[in-house]
Amino acid sequence: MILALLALVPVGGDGPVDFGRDVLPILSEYCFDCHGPDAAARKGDLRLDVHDDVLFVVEPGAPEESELLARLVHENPKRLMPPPSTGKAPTAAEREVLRRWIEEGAVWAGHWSFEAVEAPLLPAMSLPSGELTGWNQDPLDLLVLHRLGEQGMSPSPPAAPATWLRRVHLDLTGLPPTLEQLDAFLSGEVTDAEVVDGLLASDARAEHRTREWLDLARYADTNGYQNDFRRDQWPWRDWVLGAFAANMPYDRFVMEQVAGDLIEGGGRDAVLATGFQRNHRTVTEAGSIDEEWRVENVADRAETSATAFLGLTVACARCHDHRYDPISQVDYYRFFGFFDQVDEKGVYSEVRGNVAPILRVPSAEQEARLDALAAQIAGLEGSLLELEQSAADRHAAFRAEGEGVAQGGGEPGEAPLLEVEGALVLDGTRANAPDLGRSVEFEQDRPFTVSLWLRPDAHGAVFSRMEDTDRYRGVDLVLLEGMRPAVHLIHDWDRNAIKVVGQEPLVQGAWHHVAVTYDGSRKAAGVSVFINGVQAGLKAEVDRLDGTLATEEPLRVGTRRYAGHLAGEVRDLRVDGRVLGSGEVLALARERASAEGGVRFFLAAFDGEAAGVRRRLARTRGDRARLERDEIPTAMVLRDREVPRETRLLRRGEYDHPEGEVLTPDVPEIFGGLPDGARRDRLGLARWLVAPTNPLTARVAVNRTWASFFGRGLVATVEDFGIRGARPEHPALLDHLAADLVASGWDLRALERRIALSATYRQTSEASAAARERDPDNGWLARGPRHRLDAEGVRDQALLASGLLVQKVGGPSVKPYQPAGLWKELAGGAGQGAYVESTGDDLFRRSLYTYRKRTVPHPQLTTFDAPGFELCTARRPSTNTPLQALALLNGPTYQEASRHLAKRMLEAEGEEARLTLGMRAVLSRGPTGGELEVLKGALGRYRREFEADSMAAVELLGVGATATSPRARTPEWAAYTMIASTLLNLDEAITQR
Amino acid sequence: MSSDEQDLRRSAALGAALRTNRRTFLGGGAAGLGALALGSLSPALGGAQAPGAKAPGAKAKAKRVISLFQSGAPSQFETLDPKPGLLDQFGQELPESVRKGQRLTTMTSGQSSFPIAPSKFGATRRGESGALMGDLLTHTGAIADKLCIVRSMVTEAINHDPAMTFAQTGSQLAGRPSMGAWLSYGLGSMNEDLPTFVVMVSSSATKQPLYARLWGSGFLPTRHQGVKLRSGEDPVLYLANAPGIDRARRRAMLDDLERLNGLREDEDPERDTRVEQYELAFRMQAAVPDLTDISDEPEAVLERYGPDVRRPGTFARNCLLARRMAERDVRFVQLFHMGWDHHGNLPKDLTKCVKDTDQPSAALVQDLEERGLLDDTIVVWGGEFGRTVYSQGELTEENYGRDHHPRCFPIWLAGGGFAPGVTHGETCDHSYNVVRDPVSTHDLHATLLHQLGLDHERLTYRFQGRDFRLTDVHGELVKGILS
Repeated sequence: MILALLALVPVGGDGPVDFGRDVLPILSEYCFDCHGPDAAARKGDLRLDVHDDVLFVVEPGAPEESELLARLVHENPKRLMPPPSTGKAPTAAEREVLRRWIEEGAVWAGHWSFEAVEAPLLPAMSLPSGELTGWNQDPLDLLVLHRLGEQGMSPSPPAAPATWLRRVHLDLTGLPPTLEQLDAFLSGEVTDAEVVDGLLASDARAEHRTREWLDLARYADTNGYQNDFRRDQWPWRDWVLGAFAANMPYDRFVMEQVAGDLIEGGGRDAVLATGFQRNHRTVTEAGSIDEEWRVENVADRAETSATAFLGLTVACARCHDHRYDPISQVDYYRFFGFFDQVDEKGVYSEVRGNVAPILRVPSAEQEARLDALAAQIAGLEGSLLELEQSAADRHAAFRAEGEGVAQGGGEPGEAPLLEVEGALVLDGTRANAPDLGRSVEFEQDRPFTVSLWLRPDAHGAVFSRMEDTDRYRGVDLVLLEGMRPAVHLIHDWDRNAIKVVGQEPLVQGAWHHVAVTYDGSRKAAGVSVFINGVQAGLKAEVDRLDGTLATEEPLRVGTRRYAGHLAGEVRDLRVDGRVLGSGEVLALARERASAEGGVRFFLAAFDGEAAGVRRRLARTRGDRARLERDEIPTAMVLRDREVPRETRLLRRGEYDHPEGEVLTPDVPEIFGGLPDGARRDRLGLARWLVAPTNPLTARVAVNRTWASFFGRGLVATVEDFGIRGARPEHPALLDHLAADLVASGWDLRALERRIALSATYRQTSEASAAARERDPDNGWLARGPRHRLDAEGVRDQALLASGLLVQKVGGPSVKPYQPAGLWKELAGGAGQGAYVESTGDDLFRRSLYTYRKRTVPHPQLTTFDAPGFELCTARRPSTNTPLQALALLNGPTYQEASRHLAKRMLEAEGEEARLTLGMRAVLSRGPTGGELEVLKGALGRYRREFEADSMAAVELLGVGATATSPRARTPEWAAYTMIASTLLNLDEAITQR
Repeated sequence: MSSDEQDLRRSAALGAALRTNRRTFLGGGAAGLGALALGSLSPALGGAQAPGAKAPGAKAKAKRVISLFQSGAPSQFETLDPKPGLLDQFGQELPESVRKGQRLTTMTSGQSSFPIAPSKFGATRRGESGALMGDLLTHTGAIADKLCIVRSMVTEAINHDPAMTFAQTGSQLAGRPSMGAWLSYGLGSMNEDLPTFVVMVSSSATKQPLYARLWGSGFLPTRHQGVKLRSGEDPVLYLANAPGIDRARRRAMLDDLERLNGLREDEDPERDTRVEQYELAFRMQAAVPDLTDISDEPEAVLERYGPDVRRPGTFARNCLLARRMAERDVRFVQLFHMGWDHHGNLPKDLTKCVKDTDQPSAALVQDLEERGLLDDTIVVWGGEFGRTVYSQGELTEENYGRDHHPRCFPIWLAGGGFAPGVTHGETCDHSYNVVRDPVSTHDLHATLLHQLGLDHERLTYRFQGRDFRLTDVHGELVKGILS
């Protein structure tokens, strides 16, 4: 730590003090808590982040007259700064920096990353030659070399070709080279540039870059929070894959994810891109307060966008002005305003799956099926229309034959309890559902019949007289999803109730006569349902009623608590206080169908021909609905409200404390706001983000790309380009690459190509203890990169080296091996059942596709430092734990991979060739003599052991879905499997070096 | 330890020479090892400030914490804050003057009536301290004089997810480290062979899920996250050797691995650390089964924890394991017991929860005390919020339910310098609002850290340019509950 500080602060060194590099961090660390941008926390009305104010306490050129310095060492503890109670005190070296800065004139400047990018001039230096000839090919390397020279450091020699090859494969694709790729390269068949170009064009590279982007995008397959139900956002993930595969210019990539729905002519894919902004978690926990969580969504979008595109952490300013960076609370809510317009709810109570706004994303094949179904439906509708037009004769015959039936059945005798003449039109809302009062009383021991004509346009409650509480006391008839009718008689759901369900669905959009009878027996068997006068088959699902059905709620039509509100029409509703016989019901049904003008009721309920067509039509429509609902994937995307929401500042960030004037969306003042005439919406924001004058977007993108190769950005704090963030050791290089990125048309692939082929990247990563001590994080770039593979890479490499990897691109997420019970232990499967492992190929897909359940992340991912995908993550830590050792030693994935790698080894001839093959498959290099000796010794030992204990061999080789029959599991294979497992556990195996 | 095991460990000494840099997940023997782990990071990357800064002059009263978290939120009326006076008000409307327009969950905000539901169960003053406790808590009541009861906890959130996240991390929003992670970071490990922060879960009903985030490390390095101990054959994921590999074979393989790693010519401290982690893993493979194998527990001890202790995965078993971990100096043991979310059928369902947790909780405190461990172990019992005095849904003589209530809820603490026999804070007659000595979750966290010798204002970690604390910008030491 001390060394790092010494490196940053040139105490007593040569050259003038640099304000941004040397002074600002000290002021920020010791002063800004009370004298910084946060107006509320400011003491003594003095701010030391503003030049004019600083001049009150600083006399340029005269340190001894500057109050600022005097206060740092004041004898009076009341005047000493920072106050002793903070526990903070600048070191003597830091005080000296401030003294020299004042002495040199107290030069003031803005924070480096908020200043525009200017392509730096290349350093005046003689071109490197001799051993360093490789460094004169690209300004990138010259800039690094020059800076190293300034530091008195020199670069490291190039890494061995095979080491470079493995490195470039891992950093570009997340996978090591195959043996074929290794041999082709070493034999000189392909050049370095050809290797890099090939990798850049590969799906594997798109997958690896997508994997990185998903961390920032907090992408997951569940909605998080309490319920953590499944969602299907993978079509958006596939959009990212496609964007990287097509090398979409980064400015377009940003614009579409911020405002693809607003880009004219952007098409479906641009809308899909906005899924980025919906990857945040969504609350489905019943009882939550809508606005509280809607605000949370908006804040997440604003903060994620700030971090992902601008490298800014704005979250602090949500509750108060930012303590260190010049971002006020008003700035925050202006920025928040861009994301405040989404047509969404904060709470989707207990809703499973994607929540609105959503976009349908059918595949080409699904589009074709939709078209075919539409044609069939049109045909059937035509037939039906013809039948209806020719119905007069058939209706006449029906009426004639009806004379007899009506006489035979007889008219219902007693007067009904209630009769509603004419039509009740239901619009599917609770507010407009007809209320028929409380005159009809249902009781457990009292028979009744309810009959009506019904034309359902959507499922829902037909009628109810039921309480709005969790016990659901009362009576109802509902059409369930799928249009099957169900009758409830409830005292206290579901411990004391009857529920019967009809086995045949009703036809959407068609008229039916429906009658429900109950005989007062408290038994499900006492309930009957008649459709068009014919008794329907019923299934009793609950049959334990013993208690009153009485409720204060009135008889309502078309609605009931927690059921869909029915849309459609009801006619001739009638309630009798007794059980009508089947003849009576039939007569009721025939009555309207036989009446003058009753032809459409006849067609719907009694005309065999029309009924057949209608059934086929309903089936076909059902097929289409199922296709649309169950098969065609959707993604959650952005769509703004028609009526704009007014954004105000929220006091302390609390949703229920808006205050002050309405804030127009804008970018923080430090950036000068949006240009005049710019749209004040997300499209305006998107254009500003990718304008060439934006100081951050290109730098942040370059920095992230750099980190993909070096494991560390040129700015180490990838997520924070603010005043408290790390300063780049190579600012000129960062600006050079940023300016070049913009000039290239935001071509990320070209940037990656430059880095991959640079001399800087090619250096060996081997370093002496002294070099490491001087620069532990390799910020100065005097050596090549070295970092542990990421969580996905550890597994993907094992699958590739063993030949198990299935390289299929895109599609729904998959479920590889996971220890049984992990979801269940936390009740985390509650919303979707247990974790069911995939089968076949899907067990061996790249880890990018592993199902991401937010509350119970897959252990392969968390053990190796992947984030939980709940929030935007710009940088993963890289730890080194015993849990990682256990997973690699004992996890079935690695056991199975070891077995397959052993099988590959056994295909070679001779022990040495086999061992060499295994090592090359994992490390891209053969064994040294010493290593061979260890491996041979181990192999001999395992061979002896497994020959003596063949059951152990059978067990060892029996792991995973691809296990062969026990007879094929030989001791020899087992011995090589142990060797393969040893190779996969080598430090070198899981390290990019 | 068997002699075979001794041999295996001796053989492990092979790699010892490599272990120069102990950047470990489990930490070493000394407190404050976390500081070493972070020493090489630059300030902006976090951790340059001394982690775990001790409060000036503060002496640690406790070394470990066992948290018995009752997930779903137990009702205070039937447990630690009984209100026998309410019996006269059965079914009466809760006066608006009590509610004062405070926000309700949308599960009951639409209710037209808020009938007062007195506890169906009796309450008695227990012990010499005379703490009033629900009669259901037979065993906890019997140790009333060992407990420090806080009746005046208040929290912010009214739904489970944010409230549990708040209780564990000091923030309603995801992304902050849990308390165990802070302790691992600030104090390091005291045990060579076991994780610093262990989590165990059990349930009476699995309605309210838990989330890995609750024991996550947030922005702290991942090695500080809790390790969940499972009840099956593999208490730690992938702990058991793969089929066909016994302990001797694993030992030999690790020796090969260390030889091969040692043959690399360039120095790499990360590689040395990795070798060390493999050794730790190997030691855990023995230490964890030794921890979870309770066959050496005397019958009398098992009986004290109750019959459930014989079944793995129960709260009782987890309490016994927590004691065994305290003996082995595991720093932070976090139990979660699911099932306390009693919106309806409270009398029946709460009785089941009490049956599962009451006896083992009390047994744990007594067991620790008898072994001399209670003095430097803090045991804390409680949920994420309280419950409403009014009934959610129908109120009958026999049955009622209670909605979430953040304005007051009780917890108890034992050991670790917390004052035994003290009841702190008071709620109003309806246990709706705190009328004396409110204690926020931040205050509780600050006080727990204080007992462990940490100043909550100085235990910081820089992330995204800001120095974060477990207590955010809040937290006051609650002196009244310390002895």
